[in-house]
Amino acid sequence: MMRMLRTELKKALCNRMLLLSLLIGCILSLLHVWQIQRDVSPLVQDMKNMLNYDPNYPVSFDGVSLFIHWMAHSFLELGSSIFYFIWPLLAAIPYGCSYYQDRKSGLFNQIVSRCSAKQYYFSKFMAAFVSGGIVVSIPVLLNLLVNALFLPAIKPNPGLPLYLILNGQAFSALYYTHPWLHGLLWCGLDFLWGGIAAGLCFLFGSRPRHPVVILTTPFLLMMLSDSVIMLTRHGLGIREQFSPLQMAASCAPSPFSTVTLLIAMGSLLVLGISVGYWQVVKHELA
Amino acid sequence: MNWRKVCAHDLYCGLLRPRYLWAMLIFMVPCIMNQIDLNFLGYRATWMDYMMGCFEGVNRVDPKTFQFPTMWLLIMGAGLFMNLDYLLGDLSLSGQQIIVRSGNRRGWYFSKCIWNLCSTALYLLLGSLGVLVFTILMGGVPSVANSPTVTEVFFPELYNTGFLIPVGEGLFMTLLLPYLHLAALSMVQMLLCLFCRPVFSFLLCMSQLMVAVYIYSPWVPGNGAMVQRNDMLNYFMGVSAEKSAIVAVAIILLCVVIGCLRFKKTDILAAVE
Repeated sequence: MMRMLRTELKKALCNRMLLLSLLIGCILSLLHVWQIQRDVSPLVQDMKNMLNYDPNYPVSFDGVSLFIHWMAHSFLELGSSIFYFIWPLLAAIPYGCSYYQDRKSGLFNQIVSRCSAKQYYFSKFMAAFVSGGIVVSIPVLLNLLVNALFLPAIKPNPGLPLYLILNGQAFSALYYTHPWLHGLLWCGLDFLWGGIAAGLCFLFGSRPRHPVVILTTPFLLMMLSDSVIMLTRHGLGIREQFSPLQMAASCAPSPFSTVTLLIAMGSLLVLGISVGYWQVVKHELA
Repeated sequence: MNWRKVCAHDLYCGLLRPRYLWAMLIFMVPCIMNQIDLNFLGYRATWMDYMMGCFEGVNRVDPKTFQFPTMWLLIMGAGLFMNLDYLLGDLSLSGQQIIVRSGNRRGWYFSKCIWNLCSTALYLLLGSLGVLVFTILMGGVPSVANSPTVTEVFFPELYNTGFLIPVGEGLFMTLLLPYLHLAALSMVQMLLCLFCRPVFSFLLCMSQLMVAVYIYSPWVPGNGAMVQRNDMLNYFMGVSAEKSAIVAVAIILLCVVIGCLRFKKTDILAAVE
């Protein structure tokens, strides 16, 4: 099992498509940094000038804090909006259709004649999970770190009406007490979201005629669920967000709680693992 | 082999696909959402009102009022997905044989362009049909005129929308402009399939839709497909419908020309995924 996992991870991580997806994610992340710099730098400079002129001038850097402007917190910049819209596609690209390719090339038959299909499936799923997670989390981490080079890391003050993370929102207490930890936690959560999206590529097994259908499955599924959830929220008057597509950013236009976040993650992970298992191990082998 | 025969084959094989029926269901999703509001207020909407709701989109991106245009992205994204795999799929089946026997690569690609335009039209027509069925089922009026009170309810952010839109302008805004923009993006997607993998072309076109949400300009493809940004409804701040139509037509023509030139030099054996 470990040997197979190692092989699959090597195949997933030493992959041109992973680099390409990572590059797209990093470009969007840096686009966000550029937009923030363009909008926020003049304000910071003005404040510095005021302080140089009069050191006692009451200037507050709260409004230009890193913890307001980094990618996972701002949905009004183009870079972050595109990234948090296409992340399921980015996550699927590196290793999403490797099972399909194994089936079509006949490699699958060679492998399952030498080990169990269950071992093969879990190694494949883990490799896809890790590659998807890396592609989604690294641009977010990069954005946090690059923005930290320019913006002051002022601890959020819950008394000011500047922050979009409200009481009851996922990990809000951590945000106001340990914002750096919250930022790193969010990178970890985005890793999980990326992995979960990549795992959804197994939903249709190797049935589709074209690999592009497999690669777009997580994105289309999340788009569709986003629409249905929007409909449900609108119909029942629910304020809380529970669409996976929008919960990848810590600050979606509508708030969501930690419990909702964990339930959404868990249910999609279980869906990916169980249906994928049925497709790969139980169904298609028969 | 004449390219018209190839085109007829494409239209016959490419348009008779069950996936288009999904369009009817997809268009009903925003209609249901709008119907919830209407039930609450007790208004009856017309077919045109529901169509305007489908292509509502979003007005300016404002931190206080911003609503992610999920329904608009769903409709446009599904339209792009419908046309994503046909070109390379056909190339991997009988396309190579047809190209060799016809000896006319440009004709083959041109027929795919015509198919693409027809496919987008079929998607929108079936979607409109779905909206019509929904209108009748909900007891609405199957009319191409809008209801001013319902328009005011659907577009609360816009100033003074409670007027009767001329039928021609309404159809231009809800059928022709979305068609032109969707067709333009679909053509760009097909062209990009000649340069990169289809998943990347889909990714770029979806990103373009998001760019359109954030950049308020008639020159950015996608803006014209949003009713809220159309200057026929949004008199003071809307984007010019004519300009956005011209941009879409120019993109379509450019894609046909570049595609025909590019496809002549494409390695059709390597292009198949």
